[in-house]
Amino acid sequence: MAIFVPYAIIISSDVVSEEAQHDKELQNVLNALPDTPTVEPILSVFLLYHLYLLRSGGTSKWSVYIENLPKTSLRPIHWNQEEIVVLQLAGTSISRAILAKLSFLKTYYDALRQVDGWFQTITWDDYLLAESWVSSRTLSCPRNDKPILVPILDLVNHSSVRNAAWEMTLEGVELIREPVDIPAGGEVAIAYDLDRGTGERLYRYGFIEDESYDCISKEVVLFDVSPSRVFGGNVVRLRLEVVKGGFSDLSFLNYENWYTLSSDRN
Amino acid sequence: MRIGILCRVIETNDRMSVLPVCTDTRQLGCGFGIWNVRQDGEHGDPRIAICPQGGGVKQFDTPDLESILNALKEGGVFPQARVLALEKLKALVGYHRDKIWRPSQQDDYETALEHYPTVRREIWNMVKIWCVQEGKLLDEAWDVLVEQLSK
Repeated sequence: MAIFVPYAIIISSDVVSEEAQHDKELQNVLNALPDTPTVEPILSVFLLYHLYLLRSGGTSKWSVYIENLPKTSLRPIHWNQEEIVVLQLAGTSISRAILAKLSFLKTYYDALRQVDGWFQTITWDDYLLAESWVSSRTLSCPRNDKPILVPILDLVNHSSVRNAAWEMTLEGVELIREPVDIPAGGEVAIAYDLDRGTGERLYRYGFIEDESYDCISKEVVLFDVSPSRVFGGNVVRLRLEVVKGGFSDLSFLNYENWYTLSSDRN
Repeated sequence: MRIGILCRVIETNDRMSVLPVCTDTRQLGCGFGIWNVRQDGEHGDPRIAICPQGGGVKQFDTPDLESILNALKEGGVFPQARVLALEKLKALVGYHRDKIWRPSQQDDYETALEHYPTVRREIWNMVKIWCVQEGKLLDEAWDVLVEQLSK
């Protein structure tokens, strides 16, 4: 085992709820969150609250963690106006998703700004940064599929030829070495999501794994622009292995996009 | 894979007329219906029956996509469903393939700065690589779809 992180310092929605029960200021802002089916906005607010405490000269259990989180990101939600224009002109499948994401985040940010108190000190850039901390650093808890932040472990970088992997135990999360040699001074790396495509990796983590022009994306997320959309049925995740398999397996189409693709409902 | 919409349709209609194949069943050369065969108050996953025209009733558990496709095979419509889906996929892939930027040697960062002075070099390069890599997948998907549909 290379690293062990006990549950006591892992941030989950349960930890946030527990702290909010004893902290009215945090609770007020959490209560102002629009209805959300996901945990990420809750974790973002939690990190922002502790960022605010840190800036106010206070300390908390999470101060050191917050202090050491990166203060910049190359994720597209942080790109400037011209960079977003370039992205849109490039016509990638994720161009639209980024604008939609920014608009979604703005709705949340504006709702939280209605609350008096500490959130008034949080800027739009702070909010985007917290979103990136959560998006790019959470692990999915195998017990309930909910995202969790695992301090220290989330410093480990990605490599497709990983030499370590994480595992959840009864006591916490362990980073375990793979049975390969790691030379002195060599970096310990895990594989984030091996199957993500080039665009989605950049969208989620702010980097491209293989910067070669010869490389082919492992996946592309396609948005159907036809007027026959049905709920989530306008999104198709097209994977390289499906293409290589001659589309013999169409099970990647979920019911909604199967229905959209195979019917004309103009 | 669960099918929320399908389950809701089944719960609210006696006969499910929405089929994941096409809107006009006459095109398929065989009419069929999908029915909820669970009784009111009966617990458990919805159970469906498919009734191919002129054929016997077949019943299937768990209406996930695979089961539906298996059910449709019984009606002899799976090949048509596959062709329809491939054609629609081809249209979708073609749309994105036409739209994506195809960077050339001339699209260097210095030239880009003339039009977009605040674009950072690392972002410009990432977008270029991103487009090249996604473009390759779209091209490959297009070729395979054309080949499959020509069979």
